[in-house]
Amino acid sequence: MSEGFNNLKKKLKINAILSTILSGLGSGVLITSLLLLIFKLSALDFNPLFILIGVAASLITASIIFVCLYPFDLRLAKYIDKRLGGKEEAQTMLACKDKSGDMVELQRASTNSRILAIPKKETRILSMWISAGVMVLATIMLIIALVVPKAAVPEPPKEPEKEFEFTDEKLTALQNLIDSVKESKLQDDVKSNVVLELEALLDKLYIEEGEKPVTEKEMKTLVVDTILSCRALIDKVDYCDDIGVLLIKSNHDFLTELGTALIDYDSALLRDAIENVKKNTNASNVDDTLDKIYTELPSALKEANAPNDYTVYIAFNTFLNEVNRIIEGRKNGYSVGAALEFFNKALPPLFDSLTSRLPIEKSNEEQKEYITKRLMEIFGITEKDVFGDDKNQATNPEAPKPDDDNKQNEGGMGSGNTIFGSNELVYYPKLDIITEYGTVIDGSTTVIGEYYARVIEAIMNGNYSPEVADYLRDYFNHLYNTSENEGEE
Amino acid sequence: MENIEKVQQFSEAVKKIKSELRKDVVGQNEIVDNVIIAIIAGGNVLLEGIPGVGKTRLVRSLGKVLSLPFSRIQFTPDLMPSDVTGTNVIEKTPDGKMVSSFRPGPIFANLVLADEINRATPKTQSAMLEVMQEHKITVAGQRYELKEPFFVLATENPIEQDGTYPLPEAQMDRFVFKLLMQFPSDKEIVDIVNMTQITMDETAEAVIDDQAILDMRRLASTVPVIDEVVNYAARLVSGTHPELNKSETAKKYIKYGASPRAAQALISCAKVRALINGRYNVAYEDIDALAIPVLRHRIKINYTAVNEKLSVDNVISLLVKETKR
Repeated sequence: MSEGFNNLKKKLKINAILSTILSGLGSGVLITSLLLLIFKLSALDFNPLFILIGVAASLITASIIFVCLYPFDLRLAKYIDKRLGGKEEAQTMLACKDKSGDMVELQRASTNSRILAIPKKETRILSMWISAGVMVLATIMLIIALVVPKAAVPEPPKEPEKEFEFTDEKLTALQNLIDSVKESKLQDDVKSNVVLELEALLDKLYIEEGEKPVTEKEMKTLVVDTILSCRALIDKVDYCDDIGVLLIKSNHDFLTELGTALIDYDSALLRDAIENVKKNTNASNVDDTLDKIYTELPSALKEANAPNDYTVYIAFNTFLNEVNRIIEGRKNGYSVGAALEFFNKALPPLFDSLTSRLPIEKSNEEQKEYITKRLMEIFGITEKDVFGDDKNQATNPEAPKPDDDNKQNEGGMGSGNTIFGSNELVYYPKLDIITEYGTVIDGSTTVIGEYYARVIEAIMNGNYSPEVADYLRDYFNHLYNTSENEGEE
Repeated sequence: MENIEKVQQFSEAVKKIKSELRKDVVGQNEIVDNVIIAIIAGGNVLLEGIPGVGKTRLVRSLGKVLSLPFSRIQFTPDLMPSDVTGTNVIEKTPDGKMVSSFRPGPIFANLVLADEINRATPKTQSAMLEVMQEHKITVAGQRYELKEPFFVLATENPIEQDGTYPLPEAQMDRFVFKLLMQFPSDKEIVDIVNMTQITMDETAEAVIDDQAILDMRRLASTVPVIDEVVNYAARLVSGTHPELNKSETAKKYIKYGASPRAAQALISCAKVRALINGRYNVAYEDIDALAIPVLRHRIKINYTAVNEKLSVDNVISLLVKETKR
């Protein structure tokens, strides 16, 4: 090819290579910077792997630019023809580059001289400037992307918390609960602490005008805390069920039966356990029995972590001392018969101590469950709110199991007696029992009680205004008390 | 380089031819240029124009400038083929013997003006076919070669349609160009009047001879042309055929298209045109410039074009615009 053509080709080749490098690099940096900026403004963490996108963009751009700009012969010839006025001179020269002939050589020479005559300024390459511009833009974008701080993650809009409405019904129910606890047979110290907890709850929930209202969430927290505090206070003085749970894992029947009796707070079961061990212990197994009792009972007591002044603990320790004395006596020559006699004599004191404690703890347990359930009912708290997913913490073993709960909540008429009002639990101080509302019918107040129950149900369903509800309560309280007095008389 | 001189001579010769022809022919520059191209390319030209626009004068002047023997054949309906080609006659020799000798017709010239060719019968017209294509005549089994360069310039009178025999397509195809001589402008008429007041005779002088024309022809044939330009010419010609579905213009406006001779004519004449314009290669613009004179007599437009008042030239222009380079 001619000198002019080759010179121009060389110039355009350099331009193509430089433009490729600049454009490729520029586009890669631009893409990466844009991604970085987007991530920052979106408060996201920039993943370094995204740099690969920039690299890919760089390679693709560079390839495209190179292919578009590289001065292939035909492309260059067309470019030259355009510069020379579009007479296909360069293309003819290219097509005839391998041909000979006078006219061909003449054409070649003529075209070459015209190419050489093109002013250098006219071959200024625009693409180079564009590529440089891309690089500059990319640099600016990179600086911006690096300088711009990462946006803060916007906090989700807080929904206004629902206020807790401490209705008169709820207030009355809580006050009634406090009153019933005061009249209960809980230990005095425990009772006063539980009452303090309940009264504290009432104070916190009862908001005077102008004070900051309590939200539903806060109410739930307060009630759950109160429930757990009350339960902890009562559990602090009751250990029969804890010891019983450990004893039922024992290998010896006596201890297992003893454990069951403690868990159920059942004196009859306790008696049966004592009778059974008396009956089943004989000359052949007395030593074994004593050894097992002396091995397993102390570990259960230790694991239950009961205080040393706990009556049951003292009773068991006394029993264990006697058992130990028998064991030592056997080593020192006690006969089997003597061992059996001493063993049988040690059992009644144990029985007496335990039977005196069992009813108390049973009553405490029932009171604990009553307080828990009543607070849950009054404030609409669920077991999950109080105990989470741990159903073992939920209620005592005597309490209805979840399946029973479902059965209890099924609609329609059951096969049992008709009850009036809701099936909520109520503590009857005079009878010292906790039972479903309406199941205790005092002879002197049967009719009044029925009406009272219906009125209470209606009040709790919100059928009356607060003023009317107060009037009705006062009316029936007065009527109920009057009838009791008349009954006593 | 020898060719450089030849190219320079070529350019000078063409300039001289043009300048001499302008002494006798007023205006009609495009016609003059195309006639020169056709002569150098070795083709024949069909001239159409009303009487008195200078068709005969152009040919006569051309004959003088090119130093070529010129003959004029006035075609009439009673013109016989032998009147064109010549015939054998029985002659008595001085010694009394009767011999047959061939009397050449007016076709035996380098430059032939076939005036009003469409007035002759098809038989007579066909006698021209062999001459125009092969530059040879066969009379009574005897073949006679015509001297090169041989050039036929035929005229058609568009007005007198009565008693005319339209030229068949096969004969039309043998003309490399069909040129339309336009009515001169007022100024040109004034120039014509002023010129012919002095003398009615052609005043142009000879500038080249037959050999120079042949050299020019050979030189022009060596002008290179790239495949893309040849392909473009081919697409242009095939685009005139509506049945090939290559062109919307053809499908809409053309009844039948041009033969491959049109492509040959385009390239041959484009080479000459390029050289005349001082270039040493054929360009797309050469093809575009020659498309109308080359194609106008080779295609037939349909009624849609007529209805839309489109002439053949308009349709060819549309075709050129539509054909991609």
